[in-house]
Amino acid sequence: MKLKLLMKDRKSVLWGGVGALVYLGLYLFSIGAFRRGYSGVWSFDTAPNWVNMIFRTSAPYVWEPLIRIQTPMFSLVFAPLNLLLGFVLASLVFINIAATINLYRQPKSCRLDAGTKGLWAILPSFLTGFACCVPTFLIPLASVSASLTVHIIWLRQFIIPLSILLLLWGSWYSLRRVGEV
Amino acid sequence: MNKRSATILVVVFFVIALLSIGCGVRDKGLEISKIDTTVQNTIESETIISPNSNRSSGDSLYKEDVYFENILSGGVPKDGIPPIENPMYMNLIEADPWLVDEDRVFVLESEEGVFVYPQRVLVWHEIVNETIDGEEISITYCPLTGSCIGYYGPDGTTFGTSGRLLNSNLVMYDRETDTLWSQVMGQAVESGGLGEILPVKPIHWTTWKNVKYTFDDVKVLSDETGFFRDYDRDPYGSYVNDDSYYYNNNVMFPTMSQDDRLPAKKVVVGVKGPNGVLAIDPNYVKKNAPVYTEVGGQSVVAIYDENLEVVRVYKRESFEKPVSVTGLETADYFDVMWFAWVAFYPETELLR
Repeated sequence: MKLKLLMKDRKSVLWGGVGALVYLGLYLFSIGAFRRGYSGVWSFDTAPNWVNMIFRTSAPYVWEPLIRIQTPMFSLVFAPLNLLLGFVLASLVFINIAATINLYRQPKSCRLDAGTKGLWAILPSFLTGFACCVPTFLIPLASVSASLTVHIIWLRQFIIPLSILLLLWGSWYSLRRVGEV
Repeated sequence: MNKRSATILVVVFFVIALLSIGCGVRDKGLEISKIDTTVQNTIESETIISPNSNRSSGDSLYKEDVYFENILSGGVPKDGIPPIENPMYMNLIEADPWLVDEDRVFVLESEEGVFVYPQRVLVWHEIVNETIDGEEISITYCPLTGSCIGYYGPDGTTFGTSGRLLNSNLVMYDRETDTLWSQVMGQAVESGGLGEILPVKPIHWTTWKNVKYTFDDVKVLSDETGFFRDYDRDPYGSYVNDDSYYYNNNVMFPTMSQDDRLPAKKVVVGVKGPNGVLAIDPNYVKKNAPVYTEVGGQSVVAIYDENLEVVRVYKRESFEKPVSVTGLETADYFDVMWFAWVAFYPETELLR
Protein backbone atom coordinates (compact mmCIF):
# COMPACT_ATOMS: atom_id res chain seq x y z
CA MET A 1 0.00 0.00 0.00
CA LYS A 2 2.74 2.43 1.03
CA LEU A 3 4.77 1.29 -1.97
CA LYS A 4 1.85 2.13 -4.26
CA LEU A 5 1.67 5.56 -2.72
CA LEU A 6 5.38 6.01 -3.22
CA MET A 7 5.15 4.95 -6.87
CA LYS A 8 2.74 7.76 -7.52
CA ASP A 9 5.42 10.31 -6.65
CA ARG A 10 7.10 10.49 -10.08
CA LYS A 11 10.05 12.59 -9.00
CA SER A 12 10.92 10.20 -6.16
CA VAL A 13 10.54 7.23 -8.51
CA LEU A 14 12.81 8.92 -11.05
CA TRP A 15 15.61 9.63 -8.58
CA GLY A 16 15.17 6.24 -6.92
CA GLY A 17 15.49 4.56 -10.33
CA VAL A 18 18.60 6.55 -11.20
CA GLY A 19 20.13 5.70 -7.83
CA ALA A 20 19.29 1.99 -8.22
CA LEU A 21 20.79 1.88 -11.73
CA VAL A 22 23.96 3.60 -10.59
CA TYR A 23 24.16 1.21 -7.65
CA LEU A 24 23.66 -1.84 -9.89
CA GLY A 25 26.38 -0.61 -12.23
CA LEU A 26 28.80 -0.08 -9.34
CA TYR A 27 27.98 -3.47 -7.87
CA LEU A 28 28.56 -5.28 -11.16
CA PHE A 29 31.73 -3.32 -11.82
CA SER A 30 33.08 -4.16 -8.39
CA ILE A 31 32.65 -7.91 -8.93
CA GLY A 32 34.49 -7.66 -12.24
CA ALA A 33 31.54 -7.79 -14.66
CA PHE A 34 32.86 -4.95 -16.82
CA ARG A 35 36.19 -5.43 -18.51
CA ARG A 36 38.17 -3.09 -20.67
CA GLY A 37 39.77 -4.23 -23.88
CA TYR A 38 39.38 -3.31 -27.52
CA SER A 39 38.08 -6.18 -29.63
CA GLY A 40 36.39 -4.27 -32.41
CA VAL A 41 33.61 -6.81 -32.66
CA TRP A 42 30.34 -7.79 -31.04
CA SER A 43 29.96 -11.32 -29.76
CA PHE A 44 28.02 -13.41 -27.29
CA ASP A 45 29.14 -16.66 -25.77
CA THR A 46 28.63 -18.87 -22.75
CA ALA A 47 31.09 -20.83 -20.62
CA PRO A 48 31.61 -24.31 -22.14
CA ASN A 49 30.42 -26.12 -19.02
CA TRP A 50 27.89 -23.53 -17.89
CA VAL A 51 25.16 -26.01 -16.85
CA ASN A 52 27.41 -27.46 -14.16
CA MET A 53 28.69 -24.10 -13.02
CA ILE A 54 25.47 -22.21 -12.28
CA PHE A 55 25.86 -22.54 -8.51
CA ARG A 56 29.65 -22.51 -8.44
CA THR A 57 31.04 -19.66 -6.35
CA SER A 58 34.40 -17.98 -6.71
CA ALA A 59 33.99 -16.04 -3.45
CA PRO A 60 31.19 -15.54 -0.91
CA TYR A 61 28.12 -14.37 -2.87
CA VAL A 62 30.13 -14.14 -6.08
CA TRP A 63 29.24 -16.78 -8.64
CA GLU A 64 31.24 -18.01 -11.60
CA PRO A 65 30.54 -15.85 -14.69
CA LEU A 66 28.77 -17.90 -17.37
CA ILE A 67 27.80 -15.37 -20.01
CA ARG A 68 30.07 -13.03 -21.93
CA ILE A 69 28.93 -10.17 -24.11
CA GLN A 70 31.71 -8.60 -26.08
CA THR A 71 31.32 -5.08 -27.41
CA PRO A 72 33.88 -3.34 -29.61
CA MET A 73 35.26 -1.40 -26.65
CA PHE A 74 34.68 -3.57 -23.60
CA SER A 75 33.12 -6.81 -22.47
CA LEU A 76 30.55 -7.82 -19.89
CA VAL A 77 30.60 -11.12 -18.03
CA PHE A 78 27.65 -12.24 -15.96
CA ALA A 79 26.67 -14.93 -13.54
CA PRO A 80 22.87 -15.22 -13.48
CA LEU A 81 22.81 -15.47 -9.69
CA ASN A 82 24.95 -12.37 -9.32
CA LEU A 83 22.60 -10.53 -11.62
CA LEU A 84 19.67 -11.68 -9.49
CA LEU A 85 21.40 -10.60 -6.29
CA GLY A 86 22.26 -7.28 -7.89
CA PHE A 87 18.62 -6.70 -8.83
CA VAL A 88 17.46 -7.52 -5.29
CA LEU A 89 19.95 -5.10 -3.77
CA ALA A 90 19.21 -2.43 -6.37
CA SER A 91 15.47 -2.78 -5.72
CA LEU A 92 16.02 -2.17 -2.03
CA VAL A 93 18.26 0.76 -2.83
CA PHE A 94 15.49 2.12 -5.06
CA ILE A 95 12.93 1.97 -2.24
CA ASN A 96 15.30 3.61 0.22
CA ILE A 97 16.19 6.49 -2.09
CA ALA A 98 12.67 7.04 -3.41
CA ALA A 99 11.15 7.01 0.08
CA THR A 100 13.80 9.37 1.36
CA ILE A 101 13.23 11.83 -1.45
CA ASN A 102 9.50 11.55 -1.01
CA LEU A 103 9.83 12.49 2.65
CA TYR A 104 12.33 15.22 1.90
CA ARG A 105 9.88 16.80 -0.53
CA GLN A 106 7.20 17.18 2.12
CA PRO A 107 6.55 20.65 3.51
CA LYS A 108 9.35 21.50 5.91
CA SER A 109 7.03 21.79 8.89
CA CYS A 110 5.74 18.28 8.23
CA ARG A 111 9.07 16.69 7.27
CA LEU A 112 10.01 13.64 9.31
CA ASP A 113 13.48 12.56 10.26
CA ALA A 114 13.08 9.10 8.82
CA GLY A 115 14.40 9.81 5.36
CA THR A 116 17.97 10.32 6.44
CA LYS A 117 17.95 7.04 8.33
CA GLY A 118 16.69 5.26 5.24
CA LEU A 119 19.52 6.65 3.13
CA TRP A 120 22.17 5.72 5.67
CA ALA A 121 20.98 2.13 5.41
CA ILE A 122 22.22 2.10 1.80
CA LEU A 123 25.83 2.63 2.85
CA PRO A 124 26.71 -0.92 3.97
CA SER A 125 25.26 -2.25 0.74
CA PHE A 126 28.04 -0.50 -1.13
CA LEU A 127 30.38 -2.86 0.68
CA THR A 128 29.02 -5.62 -1.51
CA GLY A 129 31.27 -4.06 -4.07
CA PHE A 130 34.15 -5.42 -2.10
CA ALA A 131 33.02 -8.93 -2.83
CA CYS A 132 35.68 -9.39 -5.47
CA CYS A 133 38.92 -11.32 -5.45
CA VAL A 134 39.96 -11.07 -1.83
CA PRO A 135 43.64 -10.36 -2.20
CA THR A 136 42.92 -7.52 -4.62
CA PHE A 137 41.29 -5.26 -2.14
CA LEU A 138 43.42 -6.45 0.73
CA ILE A 139 46.69 -5.60 -0.94
CA PRO A 140 46.66 -1.96 0.24
CA LEU A 141 45.54 -3.07 3.68
CA ALA A 142 48.41 -5.50 4.06
CA SER A 143 50.70 -2.57 4.64
CA VAL A 144 48.70 -1.79 7.76
CA SER A 145 48.71 -5.24 9.25
CA ALA A 146 48.85 -8.78 7.90
CA SER A 147 46.62 -9.94 10.73
CA LEU A 148 44.03 -7.31 9.80
CA THR A 149 43.50 -9.07 6.49
CA VAL A 150 42.56 -12.24 8.34
CA HIS A 151 39.83 -10.43 10.26
CA ILE A 152 38.50 -8.66 7.19
CA ILE A 153 38.26 -11.95 5.31
CA TRP A 154 36.29 -13.39 8.19
CA LEU A 155 33.94 -10.40 8.22
CA ARG A 156 33.46 -10.51 4.48
CA GLN A 157 31.07 -13.44 4.59
CA PHE A 158 28.60 -11.33 6.56
CA ILE A 159 28.62 -8.24 4.33
CA ILE A 160 25.88 -9.26 1.89
CA PRO A 161 23.45 -10.56 4.53
CA LEU A 162 24.14 -7.45 6.62
CA SER A 163 23.53 -5.21 3.63
CA ILE A 164 20.23 -6.88 2.83
CA LEU A 165 19.08 -6.70 6.44
CA LEU A 166 19.97 -3.03 6.75
CA LEU A 167 18.34 -2.18 3.43
CA LEU A 168 15.21 -4.04 4.45
CA TRP A 169 15.19 -2.17 7.73
CA GLY A 170 15.74 1.12 5.94
CA SER A 171 12.93 0.36 3.48
CA TRP A 172 10.52 -0.47 6.25
CA TYR A 173 11.55 2.54 8.31
CA SER A 174 11.12 4.96 5.42
CA LEU A 175 8.06 3.42 3.79
CA ARG A 176 5.96 3.48 6.95
CA ARG A 177 6.27 7.25 7.00
CA VAL A 178 5.30 7.72 3.36
CA GLY A 179 1.85 9.31 3.17
CA GLU A 180 1.71 10.10 6.88
CA VAL A 181 1.73 13.83 6.31
CA MET B 1 17.79 16.86 6.51
CA ASN B 2 19.54 20.20 6.29
CA LYS B 3 21.96 21.23 3.55
CA ARG B 4 25.05 20.41 5.63
CA SER B 5 23.87 16.88 6.34
CA ALA B 6 22.99 16.38 2.71
CA THR B 7 26.46 17.53 1.63
CA ILE B 8 28.17 15.16 4.08
CA LEU B 9 25.96 12.34 2.87
CA VAL B 10 26.83 12.97 -0.77
CA VAL B 11 30.56 13.09 0.02
CA VAL B 12 30.37 9.81 1.96
CA PHE B 13 28.49 8.21 -0.93
CA PHE B 14 31.17 9.26 -3.41
CA VAL B 15 34.03 8.02 -1.23
CA ILE B 16 32.43 4.63 -0.75
CA ALA B 17 31.44 4.38 -4.40
CA LEU B 18 35.03 5.13 -5.41
CA LEU B 19 36.33 2.51 -3.01
CA SER B 20 33.96 0.02 -4.55
CA ILE B 21 35.19 0.88 -8.03
CA GLY B 22 38.79 0.59 -6.89
CA CYS B 23 38.10 -2.88 -5.63
CA GLY B 24 37.10 -4.07 -9.05
CA VAL B 25 40.36 -2.87 -10.40
CA ARG B 26 43.05 -4.40 -9.92
CA ASP B 27 60.47 -31.28 -26.77
CA LYS B 28 61.54 -33.27 -27.63
CA GLY B 29 62.33 -30.13 -29.39
CA LEU B 30 64.02 -28.99 -26.21
CA GLU B 31 67.34 -27.75 -27.32
CA ILE B 32 69.50 -29.58 -24.84
CA SER B 33 72.49 -28.77 -26.96
CA LYS B 34 72.06 -25.06 -26.36
CA ILE B 35 71.89 -25.57 -22.63
CA ASP B 36 74.76 -28.00 -22.64
CA THR B 37 76.90 -25.47 -24.42
CA THR B 38 76.19 -22.94 -21.74
CA VAL B 39 76.98 -25.43 -19.04
CA GLN B 40 80.23 -26.49 -20.62
CA ASN B 41 81.27 -22.90 -20.89
CA THR B 42 80.36 -21.98 -17.37
CA ILE B 43 81.90 -25.05 -15.84
CA GLU B 44 85.30 -23.86 -17.04
CA SER B 45 85.04 -21.05 -14.53
CA GLU B 46 83.93 -23.16 -11.64
CA THR B 47 83.40 -22.00 -8.10
CA ILE B 48 83.48 -24.37 -5.19
CA ILE B 49 81.39 -23.67 -2.15
CA SER B 50 82.10 -25.80 0.84
CA PRO B 51 79.16 -26.99 2.84
CA ASN B 52 79.08 -24.09 5.23
CA SER B 53 76.91 -25.14 8.05
CA ASN B 54 76.14 -28.02 10.27
CA ARG B 55 72.77 -26.66 11.29
CA SER B 56 70.86 -27.94 8.31
CA SER B 57 68.06 -30.30 9.02
CA GLY B 58 65.45 -31.47 6.60
CA ASP B 59 63.27 -32.37 9.50
CA SER B 60 60.65 -29.78 10.05
CA LEU B 61 61.16 -27.46 13.00
CA TYR B 62 57.48 -27.66 13.79
CA LYS B 63 55.13 -30.48 14.48
CA GLU B 64 52.48 -31.08 11.87
CA ASP B 65 49.73 -29.78 14.15
CA VAL B 66 51.45 -26.40 14.25
CA TYR B 67 51.23 -26.14 10.49
CA PHE B 68 47.61 -27.18 10.53
CA GLU B 69 46.78 -24.59 13.19
CA ASN B 70 48.41 -21.87 11.10
CA ILE B 71 46.30 -22.52 8.02
CA LEU B 72 44.10 -19.50 7.31
CA SER B 73 41.14 -18.91 5.06
CA GLY B 74 41.92 -16.96 1.93
CA GLY B 75 38.26 -15.96 1.73
CA VAL B 76 37.43 -18.15 -1.25
CA PRO B 77 35.80 -21.58 -1.31
CA LYS B 78 37.35 -24.84 -2.42
CA ASP B 79 38.23 -24.51 -6.13
CA GLY B 80 36.85 -20.95 -5.97
CA ILE B 81 40.13 -20.26 -7.78
CA PRO B 82 39.39 -22.81 -10.48
CA PRO B 83 42.19 -25.15 -11.59
CA ILE B 84 42.46 -25.77 -15.33
CA GLU B 85 41.57 -29.39 -15.93
CA ASN B 86 41.69 -29.70 -19.71
CA PRO B 87 44.39 -27.28 -20.83
CA MET B 88 44.49 -26.16 -24.43
CA TYR B 89 47.64 -24.94 -26.10
CA MET B 90 48.79 -22.61 -28.85
CA ASN B 91 52.01 -22.80 -30.80
CA LEU B 92 54.66 -20.09 -30.69
CA ILE B 93 53.34 -18.24 -33.73
CA GLU B 94 49.79 -18.20 -32.40
CA ALA B 95 50.86 -17.05 -28.93
CA ASP B 96 53.23 -14.31 -30.01
CA PRO B 97 50.65 -11.66 -30.84
CA TRP B 98 48.96 -12.24 -27.49
CA LEU B 99 52.02 -12.23 -25.22
CA VAL B 100 54.46 -9.36 -24.90
CA ASP B 101 58.21 -9.81 -24.57
CA GLU B 102 58.28 -8.88 -20.89
CA ASP B 103 55.49 -11.26 -19.88
CA ARG B 104 56.55 -13.73 -17.21
CA VAL B 105 56.07 -17.32 -18.27
CA PHE B 106 56.75 -20.67 -16.62
CA VAL B 107 58.65 -23.21 -18.70
CA LEU B 108 58.32 -26.96 -18.21
CA GLU B 109 60.68 -29.07 -20.30
CA SER B 110 59.67 -32.64 -20.97
CA GLU B 111 60.19 -35.49 -23.40
CA GLU B 112 56.90 -34.46 -25.02
CA GLY B 113 58.16 -30.98 -25.64
CA VAL B 114 58.39 -27.58 -24.00
CA PHE B 115 55.27 -26.40 -22.23
CA VAL B 116 54.88 -22.70 -21.51
CA TYR B 117 52.43 -21.41 -18.92
CA PRO B 118 51.87 -17.62 -19.00
CA GLN B 119 51.80 -16.08 -15.52
CA ARG B 120 48.88 -13.89 -16.62
CA VAL B 121 46.76 -17.06 -16.97
CA LEU B 122 48.00 -18.96 -13.97
CA VAL B 123 47.47 -16.00 -11.65
CA TRP B 124 43.72 -16.64 -12.04
CA HIS B 125 43.85 -20.45 -11.74
CA GLU B 126 46.93 -21.36 -9.69
CA ILE B 127 46.81 -25.02 -10.78
CA VAL B 128 46.89 -26.75 -14.17
CA ASN B 129 46.28 -30.49 -14.10
CA GLU B 130 47.92 -32.16 -17.07
CA THR B 131 49.36 -35.45 -18.28
CA ILE B 132 52.92 -35.07 -19.50
CA ASP B 133 55.25 -37.90 -20.47
CA GLY B 134 52.50 -40.28 -19.49
CA GLU B 135 52.26 -39.06 -15.90
CA GLU B 136 49.67 -36.91 -14.14
CA ILE B 137 51.30 -33.67 -13.09
CA SER B 138 49.98 -30.54 -11.44
CA ILE B 139 51.57 -27.26 -12.41
CA THR B 140 51.01 -25.19 -9.27
CA TYR B 141 51.54 -21.46 -8.88
CA CYS B 142 51.06 -19.22 -5.88
CA PRO B 143 51.02 -15.51 -6.81
CA LEU B 144 51.45 -14.40 -3.21
CA THR B 145 54.76 -16.26 -2.79
CA GLY B 146 55.92 -16.27 -6.41
CA SER B 147 56.39 -20.03 -6.43
CA CYS B 148 55.66 -22.24 -9.45
CA ILE B 149 56.25 -25.94 -8.88
CA GLY B 150 55.34 -29.08 -10.79
CA TYR B 151 54.16 -31.88 -8.54
CA TYR B 152 53.40 -35.50 -9.21
CA GLY B 153 50.47 -36.34 -6.95
CA PRO B 154 50.40 -39.55 -4.90
CA ASP B 155 48.91 -42.44 -6.87
CA GLY B 156 48.48 -40.15 -9.87
CA THR B 157 45.89 -37.96 -8.17
CA THR B 158 45.46 -34.34 -9.17
CA PHE B 159 45.19 -31.24 -7.01
CA GLY B 160 42.67 -28.50 -6.45
CA THR B 161 42.80 -25.16 -4.64
CA SER B 162 41.57 -25.38 -1.06
CA GLY B 163 40.91 -21.65 -0.66
CA ARG B 164 43.26 -21.67 2.32
CA LEU B 165 46.73 -20.36 2.91
CA LEU B 166 49.70 -21.32 5.03
CA ASN B 167 52.39 -18.67 5.44
CA SER B 168 50.59 -16.70 2.72
CA ASN B 169 51.19 -19.67 0.40
CA LEU B 170 48.79 -21.84 -1.57
CA VAL B 171 47.33 -24.82 0.26
CA MET B 172 46.19 -27.50 -2.20
CA TYR B 173 44.00 -30.52 -1.67
CA ASP B 174 44.32 -33.81 -3.46
CA ARG B 175 41.29 -35.12 -5.30
CA GLU B 176 41.78 -38.67 -4.03
CA THR B 177 41.78 -38.23 -0.25
CA ASP B 178 40.91 -34.54 0.19
CA THR B 179 44.14 -34.11 2.16
CA LEU B 180 45.58 -30.60 2.44
CA TRP B 181 49.06 -30.04 1.02
CA SER B 182 51.40 -27.09 1.38
CA GLN B 183 52.68 -25.94 -1.99
CA VAL B 184 56.13 -24.81 -0.83
CA MET B 185 56.66 -27.81 1.43
CA GLY B 186 55.13 -30.32 -0.97
CA GLN B 187 53.89 -32.16 2.08
CA ALA B 188 50.53 -32.91 3.60
CA VAL B 189 49.69 -30.54 6.42
CA GLU B 190 46.70 -32.29 7.90
CA SER B 191 46.65 -32.76 11.64
CA GLY B 192 47.36 -36.45 11.03
CA GLY B 193 50.95 -35.94 9.95
CA LEU B 194 53.28 -34.44 7.41
CA GLY B 195 53.99 -37.64 5.55
CA GLU B 196 55.62 -38.03 2.19
CA ILE B 197 57.25 -35.27 0.17
CA LEU B 198 55.87 -34.95 -3.35
CA PRO B 199 58.31 -35.47 -6.22
CA VAL B 200 59.11 -32.15 -7.90
CA LYS B 201 59.27 -31.37 -11.59
CA PRO B 202 61.37 -28.21 -12.04
CA ILE B 203 59.58 -25.34 -13.75
CA HIS B 204 61.53 -22.22 -14.64
CA TRP B 205 60.48 -18.57 -14.57
CA THR B 206 61.54 -16.62 -17.58
CA THR B 207 60.18 -14.10 -20.05
CA TRP B 208 58.32 -14.68 -23.28
CA LYS B 209 61.18 -13.01 -25.11
CA ASN B 210 63.66 -15.58 -23.78
CA VAL B 211 61.34 -18.42 -24.75
CA LYS B 212 61.01 -17.09 -28.28
CA TYR B 213 64.74 -16.87 -28.78
CA THR B 214 65.54 -20.20 -27.09
CA PHE B 215 63.00 -22.64 -28.47
CA ASP B 216 61.71 -23.26 -31.98
CA ASP B 217 58.64 -25.13 -30.93
CA VAL B 218 56.63 -24.70 -27.74
CA LYS B 219 53.14 -25.38 -26.46
CA VAL B 220 51.74 -22.25 -24.84
CA LEU B 221 48.76 -22.52 -22.51
CA SER B 222 45.78 -20.88 -24.20
CA ASP B 223 43.42 -18.38 -22.61
CA GLU B 224 40.56 -20.70 -23.64
CA THR B 225 40.38 -22.14 -20.15
CA GLY B 226 36.65 -22.72 -19.85
CA PHE B 227 36.37 -19.75 -17.50
CA PHE B 228 35.76 -16.07 -18.10
CA ARG B 229 38.70 -14.26 -16.52
CA ASP B 230 40.41 -11.00 -17.41
CA TYR B 231 43.73 -12.41 -18.59
CA ASP B 232 44.99 -8.97 -19.52
CA ARG B 233 44.95 -7.87 -15.88
CA ASP B 234 46.89 -9.18 -12.91
CA PRO B 235 44.86 -8.64 -9.72
CA TYR B 236 48.06 -8.36 -7.68
CA GLY B 237 49.76 -5.73 -9.81
CA SER B 238 52.44 -6.30 -12.37
CA TYR B 239 55.88 -7.83 -12.76
CA VAL B 240 56.69 -5.11 -15.26
CA ASN B 241 56.00 -2.19 -12.93
CA ASP B 242 58.02 -2.23 -9.75
CA ASP B 243 55.40 -0.53 -7.60
CA SER B 244 53.23 -3.59 -7.20
CA TYR B 245 52.75 -6.31 -4.61
CA TYR B 246 55.48 -8.34 -6.27
CA TYR B 247 58.17 -5.86 -5.33
CA ASN B 248 57.12 -4.12 -2.12
CA ASN B 249 57.75 -5.46 1.36
CA ASN B 250 54.13 -6.06 2.32
CA VAL B 251 53.21 -9.62 3.17
CA MET B 252 49.51 -10.32 2.96
CA PHE B 253 49.05 -12.85 5.72
CA PRO B 254 50.86 -13.66 8.97
CA THR B 255 53.80 -16.03 8.62
CA MET B 256 55.29 -18.49 11.10
CA SER B 257 58.76 -16.95 11.01
CA GLN B 258 60.54 -13.97 9.51
CA ASP B 259 64.13 -13.33 8.47
CA ASP B 260 65.52 -10.00 7.28
CA ARG B 261 68.70 -11.29 5.66
CA LEU B 262 67.03 -10.48 2.33
CA PRO B 263 64.08 -8.26 1.32
CA ALA B 264 60.77 -10.09 1.75
CA LYS B 265 59.98 -10.36 -1.96
CA LYS B 266 63.51 -11.14 -3.14
CA VAL B 267 63.28 -14.24 -5.33
CA VAL B 268 65.61 -17.06 -4.33
CA VAL B 269 66.07 -20.58 -5.64
CA GLY B 270 64.91 -22.89 -2.87
CA VAL B 271 66.64 -26.26 -2.98
CA LYS B 272 65.59 -29.25 -0.90
CA GLY B 273 68.00 -31.98 0.11
CA PRO B 274 67.40 -35.20 1.99
CA ASN B 275 68.27 -33.62 5.35
CA GLY B 276 68.24 -29.91 4.83
CA VAL B 277 67.37 -26.99 2.62
CA LEU B 278 69.25 -24.17 0.92
CA ALA B 279 68.27 -20.84 -0.58
CA ILE B 280 70.41 -19.52 -3.42
CA ASP B 281 70.43 -15.96 -4.70
CA PRO B 282 70.18 -16.32 -8.52
CA ASN B 283 72.58 -13.40 -8.94
CA TYR B 284 75.23 -15.34 -7.04
CA VAL B 285 74.95 -18.23 -9.49
CA LYS B 286 74.94 -15.84 -12.45
CA LYS B 287 78.26 -14.38 -11.31
CA ASN B 288 79.94 -17.56 -10.07
CA ALA B 289 78.50 -20.46 -12.05
CA PRO B 290 78.96 -23.31 -11.84
CA VAL B 291 78.43 -23.43 -8.11
CA TYR B 292 79.20 -26.70 -6.38
CA THR B 293 77.63 -27.07 -3.00
CA GLU B 294 75.73 -29.38 -0.75
CA VAL B 295 72.15 -29.39 0.48
CA GLY B 296 71.31 -31.51 3.49
CA GLY B 297 73.76 -34.22 2.57
CA GLN B 298 73.14 -34.06 -1.18
CA SER B 299 75.91 -32.74 -3.42
CA VAL B 300 74.55 -30.41 -6.07
CA VAL B 301 75.76 -28.17 -8.85
CA ALA B 302 73.95 -24.96 -9.77
CA ILE B 303 74.42 -23.56 -13.24
CA TYR B 304 73.14 -20.48 -14.97
CA ASP B 305 71.23 -20.95 -18.21
CA GLU B 306 71.95 -17.74 -20.06
CA ASN B 307 69.37 -18.38 -22.75
CA LEU B 308 66.43 -18.49 -20.38
CA GLU B 309 68.20 -16.49 -17.63
CA VAL B 310 67.38 -19.11 -15.04
CA VAL B 311 69.24 -21.18 -12.48
CA ARG B 312 69.25 -24.96 -12.85
CA VAL B 313 70.28 -27.25 -10.05
CA TYR B 314 71.43 -30.83 -10.50
CA LYS B 315 72.32 -33.60 -8.10
CA ARG B 316 75.82 -34.95 -8.45
CA GLU B 317 77.38 -38.18 -7.33
CA SER B 318 79.36 -37.63 -4.13
CA PHE B 319 81.52 -34.52 -4.38
CA GLU B 320 83.05 -34.97 -7.82
CA LYS B 321 82.81 -32.08 -10.27
CA PRO B 322 81.02 -33.11 -13.45
CA VAL B 323 82.06 -31.41 -16.66
CA SER B 324 78.54 -31.52 -18.03
CA VAL B 325 75.07 -31.74 -16.55
CA THR B 326 73.98 -34.18 -19.26
CA GLY B 327 72.60 -37.24 -17.57
CA LEU B 328 72.52 -35.65 -14.13
CA GLU B 329 69.29 -35.84 -12.20
CA THR B 330 67.65 -32.54 -11.38
CA ALA B 331 67.47 -31.54 -7.74
CA ASP B 332 64.21 -30.55 -6.05
CA TYR B 333 64.24 -26.79 -6.53
CA PHE B 334 62.04 -23.86 -7.47
CA ASP B 335 61.96 -20.08 -7.42
CA VAL B 336 60.19 -18.57 -4.42
CA MET B 337 60.01 -15.27 -2.57
CA TRP B 338 62.40 -15.16 0.38
CA PHE B 339 59.76 -14.42 3.01
CA ALA B 340 57.84 -17.57 2.14
CA TRP B 341 60.91 -19.80 2.04
CA VAL B 342 62.05 -18.74 5.52
CA ALA B 343 58.51 -18.92 6.84
CA PHE B 344 58.58 -22.66 6.14
CA TYR B 345 62.29 -23.22 6.58
CA PRO B 346 63.68 -20.80 9.17
CA GLU B 347 66.74 -23.05 9.49
CA THR B 348 67.62 -22.57 5.81
CA GLU B 349 71.12 -21.87 4.68
CA LEU B 350 71.53 -18.96 2.29
CA LEU B 351 74.03 -18.71 -0.53
CA ARG B 352 74.48 -15.17 -1.74
